[in-house]
Amino acid sequence: MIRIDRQKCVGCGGCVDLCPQAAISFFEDFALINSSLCFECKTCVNVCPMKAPQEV
Amino acid sequence: MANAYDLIVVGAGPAGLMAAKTAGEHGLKVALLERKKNITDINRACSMMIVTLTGRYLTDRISINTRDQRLCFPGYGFTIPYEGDHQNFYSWSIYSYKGNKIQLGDYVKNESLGDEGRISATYDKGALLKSLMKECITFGVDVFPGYNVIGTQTRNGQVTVFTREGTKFNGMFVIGADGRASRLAKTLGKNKDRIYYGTSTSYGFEMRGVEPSEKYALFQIFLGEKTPMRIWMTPRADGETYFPFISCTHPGADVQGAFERFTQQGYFAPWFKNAEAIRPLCIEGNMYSHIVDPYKDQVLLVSDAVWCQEAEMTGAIISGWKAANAVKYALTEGTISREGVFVYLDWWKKEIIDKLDHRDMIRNAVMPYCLTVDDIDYLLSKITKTLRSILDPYETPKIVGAAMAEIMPIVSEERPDVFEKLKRMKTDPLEDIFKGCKRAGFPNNMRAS
Repeated sequence: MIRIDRQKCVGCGGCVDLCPQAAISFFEDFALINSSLCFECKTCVNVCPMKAPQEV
Repeated sequence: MANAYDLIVVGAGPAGLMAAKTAGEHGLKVALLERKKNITDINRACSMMIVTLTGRYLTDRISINTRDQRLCFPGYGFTIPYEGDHQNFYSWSIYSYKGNKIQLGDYVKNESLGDEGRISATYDKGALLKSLMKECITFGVDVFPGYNVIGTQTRNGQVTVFTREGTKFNGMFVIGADGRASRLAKTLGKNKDRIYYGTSTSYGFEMRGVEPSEKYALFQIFLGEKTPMRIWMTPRADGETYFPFISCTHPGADVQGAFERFTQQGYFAPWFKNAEAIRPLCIEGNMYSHIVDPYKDQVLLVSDAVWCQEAEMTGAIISGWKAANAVKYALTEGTISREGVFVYLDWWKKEIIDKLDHRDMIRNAVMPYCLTVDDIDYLLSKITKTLRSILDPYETPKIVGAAMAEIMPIVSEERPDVFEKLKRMKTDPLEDIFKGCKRAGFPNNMRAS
C-alpha cells in the first residue's frame, strides 16, 4: 500500500496530476491516496521530489 | 440535481479566475470549482515573472499602472486589478556551473535607469489571485474550493461536471482551466494527438539572505550534474526573498542532492553562505505539444491545459478572458456549439496554432541534452560581449542564437567535437534528443494517451 507522508508533502499536486488512475486527490491542500483506486504503479513514488509517497 | 449555471469554470488559477470574473461581468451565472481549499495561497514552484514588459507576447506588451494598481493589456484592450508588489530585474545571466556566463543587459546601467532599464519584473502571484478573486465575488461568482473535478458528461444540451467529492454541477458551458496535467484534457481524449516530450520536475526553496552577483537579475545556471538540470533564480516581488529552483526532465532524479550541492559547493556557494531557506516549493508537469482543437461538447479548454510548456501569467489571463467572452457571445446568440464560441477558437487558431511552432519552444531547452556541462562551459566562455536585454520568448532566443553564430568559426577550429554536436542539436529530430527523458504516468513512447 502507498501512503503520503503528510510531513513531507508540500501540496504541489504533481502526484494528483500524474496518477494514471486519478487515485490521488487534494484533501485540505495535501495529497491523499484513495487506496481502493490505487494499483501501486508507483508513478507518485517515482516523481515526488519531496519523497512523500511511502510504500507501507 | 444542482442548480444549472451558465458557465462552470474548472480551476481557480489565473486563467480560471479571469474567465469566471469576466463571465460574471457579462452577467452570467458562474460556478468556479477548485481542488485546493485555500485558493490564493501559492504552494508550488513558480518564477512569477511578467512575460513581458519589454517585448511582445501573444501580440501584446504588458504594462503596470502603479498609480491605480492595475496590470494593463493594451493590445487586447483591458486591464485587471493587481494590488501587489512587483520587483524589476535588470539583466539576464546564463551561467555554466563553473561561472562562465552570457550576460543579457548591462546590469549597472540598466539598474540606474529604473523602469526604463528593466528586462521585466516579477509579481506576487498570490496577490494577483486575491485581486481576481475579489472581482469574482463582486460579480456574483459561486466559488467552490475543495472540489476535485474528475470528468464531464454532455447530454441534452447541458454539461454535468463530476467531482471526486460526489457533488455534480450542471451548466451550459464549461471552461477547463485545470492546468498542465489537465484531467479534462485527458478525459475528453484531447491528449491522444499530442506529442509528449517528457515529465519535468521543478524543485527549489524560497530563501532569504541570498547574495547573488547582481541583486535584481534573472539567473539561469546549467548545473554540473550527470542528469541535465538547470537552476532558475528570480527575486520575489518583495525585493528581499529569492526563489532558486532546479528544473529537469527526469522525474525521480536526485534534485534534493543537486540543490544542496548547488548552494553548498562550487562556484555559487558564496551566494548562499548567509542564506536561510524559508520553504520548499516544487511541481511536476508533462511537456506536450499544443492541443490543436481545444473544444469538445460544450467544454472549452484554456491556458496551461492546452499549451505547449506554459502559457505564462499573461497567456493565462488572455485565454481566460477570450474564453469567457466567447461563452457570453454564444449564450447571447443562442448558438450552444463550437461555432458559437468562435471568439475563443478563432483566436487560439490564429495566434497560437498558426503562428507558433511548439518545436521552437522545445528546441530552446535542448542544449543540456546535446552538450556536456563542460561543452556548455566552453561555449559560454567564448561569448564575451554583453547582449541586448529583452525578455521576449521569440526575440531572446534569436539574440542568443546570433551570439552563438558569431563564435562558430572559432568553435569549429578549437573544438570540432562541440561544433558537430551543435549542428546536430539544430537538426536532430526532437524525439531523438529527448528519448532519454523519463516519462511519468504514460507508456514510454512519444504518443500520449
